[in-house]
Amino acid sequence: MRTRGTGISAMLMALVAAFAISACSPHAADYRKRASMGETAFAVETDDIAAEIQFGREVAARMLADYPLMKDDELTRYVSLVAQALAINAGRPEIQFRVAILKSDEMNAYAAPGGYIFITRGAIKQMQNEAELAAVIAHEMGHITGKHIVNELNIHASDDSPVSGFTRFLGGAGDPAKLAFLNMVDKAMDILLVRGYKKEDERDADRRAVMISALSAYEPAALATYLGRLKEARGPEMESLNRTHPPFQERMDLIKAAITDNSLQREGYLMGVVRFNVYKKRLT
Amino acid sequence: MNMIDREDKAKQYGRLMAIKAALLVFAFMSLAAGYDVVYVQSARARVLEGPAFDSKISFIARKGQVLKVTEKKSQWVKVADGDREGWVLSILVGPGAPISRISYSSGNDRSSATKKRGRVSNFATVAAIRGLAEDDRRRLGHSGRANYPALEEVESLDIPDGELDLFLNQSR
Repeated sequence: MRTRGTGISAMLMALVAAFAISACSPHAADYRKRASMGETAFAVETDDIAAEIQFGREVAARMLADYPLMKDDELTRYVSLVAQALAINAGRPEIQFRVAILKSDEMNAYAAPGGYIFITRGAIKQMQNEAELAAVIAHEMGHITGKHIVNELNIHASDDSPVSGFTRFLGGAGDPAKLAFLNMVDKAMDILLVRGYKKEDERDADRRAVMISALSAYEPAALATYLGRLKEARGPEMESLNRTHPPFQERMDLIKAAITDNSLQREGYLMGVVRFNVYKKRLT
Repeated sequence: MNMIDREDKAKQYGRLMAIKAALLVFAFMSLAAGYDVVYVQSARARVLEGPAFDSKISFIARKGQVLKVTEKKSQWVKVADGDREGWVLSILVGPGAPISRISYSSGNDRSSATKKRGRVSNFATVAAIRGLAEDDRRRLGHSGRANYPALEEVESLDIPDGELDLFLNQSR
């Protein structure tokens, strides 16, 4: 005897068969795991970002002890505006990017995790337009968006990390926790000022700089032009840059390849020569 | 129909329902399977017909939009949204939903990171905002110095949205 439920059962079985086939996806198990983690995963991620920012602040404070801050509100505001224009396309909306100008004739720029970017007075003096300024900021942004120091030093918010332990219990943190944290900051400073990033991280930052610049309508080749000018520069002011980065020609070749591979060549990119030079005059 | 026949039929019906229930559970689990997905992180992301900047626009994706990943190539990810598909730069998308900006506050509140779902971070204290005290460092025999007043000066600069919009409009 045919019952009312028989037709519904047949539909259900067909539906089941279709879904069962989808379970054969190689990503099935991983996605289920990620979906089921839900709020836990979300909370862990924001804690990790907060850990990154907290650590980055300490690194930034250390940098500002080694290099005095250049106190020029108008110039700083201009550089910050360029950074904010780039940040729109940097892919890390949770990070507040900040730029400070260091009163140093070295020609270099630095990035601390959590969004802190430093650029020297000496570097800006070598630039000829806003696109070159944007390119250097975008390169530093690339170190932050690529989480190069975060990954190198394993900065995260789990209970056993020195960063998390320190920030959670700072008021009553034991000396071992404080010392472990300080040692982590030392390692970050060593990367920034002494040995430099891994070569692959520098290449990644250059590629990201090309992308972020182009997305923000700045000439993506500007970084290669700026490096070409620095390549000819000599003197002690170049020492820190030479020590911490790959050879100029290698970087210029990679940048040009990234532009070609992604069909970025076109007319009409922003160079910002006039506006840049109005502010650059403040350095003389 | 006698009692034995009814019992047999009831048992058969019960077995069939149990199998259907198990298959339905399996089906719902399968639903949660499926694909790699990415979330758009930037305010808007152009999804192009090919993995090159000079490709035509296929569609514009908005922040938080979920896209199914079908292929990866260098700096690009091929994504689909229903029957629309195209390539988007990998730096504009991420594996999780975009998180609101986490900003640093120097107020007296215990937490400086606010989560969307109201879970307060156990993360930062007022002391943490100032960092390790100078005497702490000296006592630990650590020579590294830190300039927190300069840091706070850097963090005090605020660029309102309107000023950024004006700056962008002057450029274009």
